[in-house]
Amino acid sequence: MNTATLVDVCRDLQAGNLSPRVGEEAERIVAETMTARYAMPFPATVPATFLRTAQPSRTRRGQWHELVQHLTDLAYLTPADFQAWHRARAAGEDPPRELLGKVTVAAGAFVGEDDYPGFRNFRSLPAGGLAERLDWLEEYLVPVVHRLARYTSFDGDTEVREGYRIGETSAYGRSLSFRMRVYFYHFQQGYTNRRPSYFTREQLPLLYQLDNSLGGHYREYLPGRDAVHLHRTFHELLLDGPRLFDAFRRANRFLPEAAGRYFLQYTLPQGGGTGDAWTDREERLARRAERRVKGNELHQDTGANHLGIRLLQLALWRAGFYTGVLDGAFGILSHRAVLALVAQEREHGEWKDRRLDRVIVRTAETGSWLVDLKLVGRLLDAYAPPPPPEAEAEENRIWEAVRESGMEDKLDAEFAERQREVSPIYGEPERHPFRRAYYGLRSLLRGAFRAVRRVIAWIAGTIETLLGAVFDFVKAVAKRLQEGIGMFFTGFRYFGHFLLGRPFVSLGAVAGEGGAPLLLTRYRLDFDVVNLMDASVSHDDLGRHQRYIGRMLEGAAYFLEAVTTVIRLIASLQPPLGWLRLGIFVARRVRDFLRGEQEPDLVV
Amino acid sequence: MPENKSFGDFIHDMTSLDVVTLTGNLTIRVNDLQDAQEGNPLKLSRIMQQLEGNLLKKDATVSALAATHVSIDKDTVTFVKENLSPEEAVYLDFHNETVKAAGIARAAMADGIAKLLLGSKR
Repeated sequence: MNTATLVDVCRDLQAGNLSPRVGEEAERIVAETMTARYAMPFPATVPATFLRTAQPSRTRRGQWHELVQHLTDLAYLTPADFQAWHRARAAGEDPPRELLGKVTVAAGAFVGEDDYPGFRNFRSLPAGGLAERLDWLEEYLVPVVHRLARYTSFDGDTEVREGYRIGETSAYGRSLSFRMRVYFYHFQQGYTNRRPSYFTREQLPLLYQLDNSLGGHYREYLPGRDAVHLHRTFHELLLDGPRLFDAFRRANRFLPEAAGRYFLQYTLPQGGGTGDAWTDREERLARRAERRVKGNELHQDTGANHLGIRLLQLALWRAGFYTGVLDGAFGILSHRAVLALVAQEREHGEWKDRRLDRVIVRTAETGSWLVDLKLVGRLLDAYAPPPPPEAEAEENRIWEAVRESGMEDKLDAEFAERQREVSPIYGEPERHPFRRAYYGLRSLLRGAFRAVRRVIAWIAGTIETLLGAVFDFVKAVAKRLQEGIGMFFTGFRYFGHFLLGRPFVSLGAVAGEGGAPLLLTRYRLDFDVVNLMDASVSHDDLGRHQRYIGRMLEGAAYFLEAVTTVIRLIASLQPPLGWLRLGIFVARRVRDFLRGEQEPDLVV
Repeated sequence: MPENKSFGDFIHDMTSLDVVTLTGNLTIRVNDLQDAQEGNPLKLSRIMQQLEGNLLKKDATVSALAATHVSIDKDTVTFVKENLSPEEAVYLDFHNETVKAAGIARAAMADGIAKLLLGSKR
């Protein structure tokens, strides 16, 4: 079945044809074709999401992993929880029930601390048992992750909170504190157990340290001892990674137009570098590097917290090259990230080889390496997240390139399975609980766009290099599907029950001979309702069935709006188009919906 | 819109609300629902197949326990089976709750139809 069938069905639905024939066709496409195409269960339940045998659920699981990472970064969960979660993932096991319980409580706490208007439509986290709390979280997974991601993004996605008061116990306060940890704390040196959840007055001295690292340019905006508010400038610096990196480079005079030079020197553990024979050119560059070392031309001090290195790691991480901890320690993973950046640029960038040769250089005698931070900073500028319209245009061009290459059908057929290939470069969080995956969509799209030919070569199976563009592309597509199709599926359950006449069905406790009493409630489009129930249902069975319908009624307005928005979009699309590209279109509309943006006029 | 109905019929139907609660022998054999193992959601189609089979049996004993008609001016008429047993009284409570919920569902459904047909311009 191709996407044209889905488009036809959505056109029928949009025309008001809610007949049983159209309803059955729609249910069949969603429940059978789309679940397989997008590797996502319908309906989503925790047992279905984490079941690994013959169940299309990989994409949904990915969103749970993202959820847990964000909750950890915002200190709703601990690094130990994060590690336990990934131990279960790596072992192919369900997450432990106790941990699932913590995750639901953490998500409920986040919803309580974030003032996103959409959350007003949500039921509050049920106080009852784990099963009910998990149902709640599965229901709201997409909007919750969407909001969490804004608070942990370094793409400038987090809007400055007007009227923020230092010390307030809000999700925004946690977001500021998270950034202070990234820029100042050594995660692995005892700070993790006493990390402040919210940004507090005690962290104000660190802003003075930050200003020092930025050359004192922001002194006039520093908060006093009794300040209630932070100046907007500091909000923006903390929330926007590229902006802070620019400020650091300006202070240390290594922005592209500046006259200064800035080198980072480091020594790798034995065996950490390459053992290749040196070319003549490498030897010349090495001798030049050695002179720089001896002539003390270097500026190695990037502050007590190694801010410069952290910012470099952050930029490499956002671009899909760095998979280690953002800790300011320039080790083998940071080294490999710079090499991977240069290799990708050599294949697909605009710089000549001779210039790229100077980005990272071995020194001749000391066995150490020099990174020209001015050059690497310029390279990374090309990976800075573009504004949303530009990101969307680049995403279109990625898909045009895939289509022109003749690889779209192949990608459609294989993507769900080939996501596995990037799993190893997520950094083995089960062993390294401070490593993170980056999920900022605009950075991922820019990273994929920067070397789209590499992406196409990966689809074709002709390269195995995953760091960089391929990693970005896979994460961007997966994130799109998690958000767009996840929301569509959740909304479609409401649509099925309330507009297509799909009955609510519960089975009571199993009695003798393996029989279970049935409870069925069906809402029909003419607003008639039929209840059908076995004569032996218990009071408990009735209560459970009633609560189930009650929950669906509470969510009906929000999710019906989401799904009707998507149905109208799909009805406006013109086949032929692949399933993944359709998923991208859906995800864009869902993202607009989640942002509270109005549906634009449709062009049919 | 349901097939075989004119738009006028449909509008007329929408002006009232009928809730019917039926009870009888409607036990489902769980063992026959092969996908109902732990971790797999119940397959609605299999349940419905069994249900239809049950209802078509000669000894099927499904009867109406209560029926409520609510007209657009909120006049409500409820018919209840005679001589309800204490167990059946529990079902009547459920029926009455459903009538309340049906009002909310009607609003959601009408809103959903409007958004589907006209778009959501907030």
